[in-house]
Amino acid sequence: MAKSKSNKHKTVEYGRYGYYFIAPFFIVFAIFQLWPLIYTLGLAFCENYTDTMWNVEVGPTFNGLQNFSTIFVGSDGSLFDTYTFRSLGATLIMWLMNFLPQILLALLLAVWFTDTRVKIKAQGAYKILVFMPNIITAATISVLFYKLFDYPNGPINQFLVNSGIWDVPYQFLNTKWATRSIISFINFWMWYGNTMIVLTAGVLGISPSLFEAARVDGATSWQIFKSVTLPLLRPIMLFSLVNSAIGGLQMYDIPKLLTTSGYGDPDYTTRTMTMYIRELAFSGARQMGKASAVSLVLFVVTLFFSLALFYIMRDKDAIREKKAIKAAQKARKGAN
Amino acid sequence: MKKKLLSVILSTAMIASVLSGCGGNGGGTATTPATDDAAPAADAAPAEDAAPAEDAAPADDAAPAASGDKFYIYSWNTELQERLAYVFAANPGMEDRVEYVNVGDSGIYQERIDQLLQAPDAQDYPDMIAFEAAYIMKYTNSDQTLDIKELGLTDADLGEMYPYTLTVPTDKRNGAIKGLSWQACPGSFMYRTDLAESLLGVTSPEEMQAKISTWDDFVATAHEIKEKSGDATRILSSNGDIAEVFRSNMENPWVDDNGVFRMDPIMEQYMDMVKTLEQEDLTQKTSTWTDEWNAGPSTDSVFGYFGCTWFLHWTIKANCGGSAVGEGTYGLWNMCQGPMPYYWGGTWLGATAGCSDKELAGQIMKGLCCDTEIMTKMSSETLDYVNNKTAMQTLSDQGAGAYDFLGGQDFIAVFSPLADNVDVSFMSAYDQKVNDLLGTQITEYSLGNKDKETAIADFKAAVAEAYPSLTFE
Repeated sequence: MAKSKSNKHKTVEYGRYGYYFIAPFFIVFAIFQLWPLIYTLGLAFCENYTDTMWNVEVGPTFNGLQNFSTIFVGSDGSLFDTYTFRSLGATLIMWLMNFLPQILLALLLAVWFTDTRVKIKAQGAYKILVFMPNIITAATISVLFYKLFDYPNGPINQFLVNSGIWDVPYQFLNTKWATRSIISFINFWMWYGNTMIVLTAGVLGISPSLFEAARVDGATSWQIFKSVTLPLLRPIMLFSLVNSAIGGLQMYDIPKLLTTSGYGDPDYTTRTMTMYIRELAFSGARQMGKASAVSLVLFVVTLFFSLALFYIMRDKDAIREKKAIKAAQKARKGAN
Repeated sequence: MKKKLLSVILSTAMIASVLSGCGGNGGGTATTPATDDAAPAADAAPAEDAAPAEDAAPADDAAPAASGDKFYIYSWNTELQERLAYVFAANPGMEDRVEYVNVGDSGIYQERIDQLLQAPDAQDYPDMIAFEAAYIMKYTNSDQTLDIKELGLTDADLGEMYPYTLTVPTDKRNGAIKGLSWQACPGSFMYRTDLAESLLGVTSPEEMQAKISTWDDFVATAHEIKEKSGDATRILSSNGDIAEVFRSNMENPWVDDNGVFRMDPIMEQYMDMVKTLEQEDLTQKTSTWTDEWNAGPSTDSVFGYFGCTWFLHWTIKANCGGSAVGEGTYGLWNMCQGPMPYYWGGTWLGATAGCSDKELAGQIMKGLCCDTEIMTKMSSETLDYVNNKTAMQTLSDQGAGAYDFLGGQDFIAVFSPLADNVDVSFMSAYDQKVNDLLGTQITEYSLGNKDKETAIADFKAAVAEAYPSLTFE
């Protein structure tokens, strides 16, 4: 008894070391994340840029909502017709174009790889092949595709012209939808392996007895997928959806490096929000104030999408059940 | 349930005692927690792009620049470094003090310098910086650069320079000269003599000049080259090759001293010219400075380039596929004026406000940009067109200008009259960004995706977006 007492005593005394161990994270977080976050919030309501003519910094001086008014209202007075919302649109389009096929293919592969009846051979090799693009850095892949789709004498154009499919080389990287498609494809190709691994882990977490029971009851593969796999995969699905939404809205490296000028060619149609923020803050008049305001808009948009996904993916049955239980309890109380 | 709770408590206690045991032993055993901490720190860093970059610079606070420290000179390639070697050769001991930093990419150079200048106490704060013509005025019109008089230079040192090289770095507020250049960069049209003879029947630079003396002639000649070569050769490599010619013929700068933005009519002519080249298929349609564009001089696919003094050595000669007459296209080039006189680029060197050793900065500037002896040697060995009239005259008199790369043509004789007459009134601090923004719209216009009015309107909107303090007519 005495022994356990002293043990307990020790635990309490050394407990504070736990705080020391976690302190470095919080210190780093406070300096490099929390403070910049607060500072950005403040700058968003300030006029702060560099006057290029004399290269002097103007501000930061408080100017209320002026930054936001230039973000939301275009120069001709029309709402949302601004560079900010155009780049937001481009970001969302390119995200959806890569995410929808990505999650579908990843889901399909995850189901195939975990199906106890299909039993694909050499699964490990497939998984490695699928995951491989994720290991290569974005910069390398961008340069690779830039060279592939080069105009007029890139390999793709040479192939298309020499094989007689097209008469003249095609300006892939100067055509809006071609460039957007290439960027989406690269993102899709890089990340579907990653999503597949996550979903595979999710499917493997489902008790095999459920699949067996369904099969014994004579369910088809589609029925098993629809009624067993999908509902039980919901938490993992939510995770990869939110993850992808956040990652997709912050898309930067591929479009930045793929386009010739780095400004989102052609005509800013592939300029994402983060590229735009960077341009505002570090080129031209270095408008830190407006860049901070745009960052805030990006934050709100990301928050909105994440919350929307949480809402859509909520467990409706569980909520209904809870309500039913509450109602039943109330009814019982009433009866008493 | 109770058993479980007990086991959790016990195992927690065990782990805690193991860890605290480590702590009790003193230093050298902090490995476990340290690696744990490293992970969140690494996670935290890349998330905020802007802020840490700024925070990172002043981190070197502890080591203020003392006179014994390194003297930092920043540039974006090795050109200045190679030129500085001549100064070091004449001033023993100087080289040990100087730390030459090659940022490596002219595209990010300006951003890098801006960040460095914000941290005057940092150890790697630049003492001297190289500027390109496209943005030099941003720095010389500010308090971030020093008057060369403060560095010990006098008007007597500037006598040999071409006047425009002093106009550019003059502070508009008080007339102080803030930087000096060792080179003068008038431009010309450089073309292949063998192709000119076989395709156009032209045998001398004068005849060639007659074929391209106006832009209409230039387009006609471009058609001729395309047809007679059977589509194998084009007059230019990229549509963008004509950009500098038009830019330096603007009558007004993009932004005047009152912050008013104007689009010079000649830039509309430039837009049309690019569209003609694109639509009538008169160039190889590459992009400037790409691998394919660089490969042009070594093949027969490109007839000529618009280039200036440094362009001749750094671009055409470097890419001609040989280093002596008979190899590649070496020796098969000639120069003529082209449709418009123009001027392109050049590098200036200036001292920063926080320069740690003004005397040394002055010595470097004097040696690099004023010393006739050093500059003569520099020019005769590198064939750079230096910013020193006496030096160029001496070399011309010696017949040193006859250049085997140009088939014996005297490059000094071609450039000298051009250098005297360079007019730089078109330059402003905004040039690089504005030209980039115009380039985006010109691509759209030349491909036929937009009409001219829309392209110009979009261009102006983009400029207004990048520079909110400008006013538009």
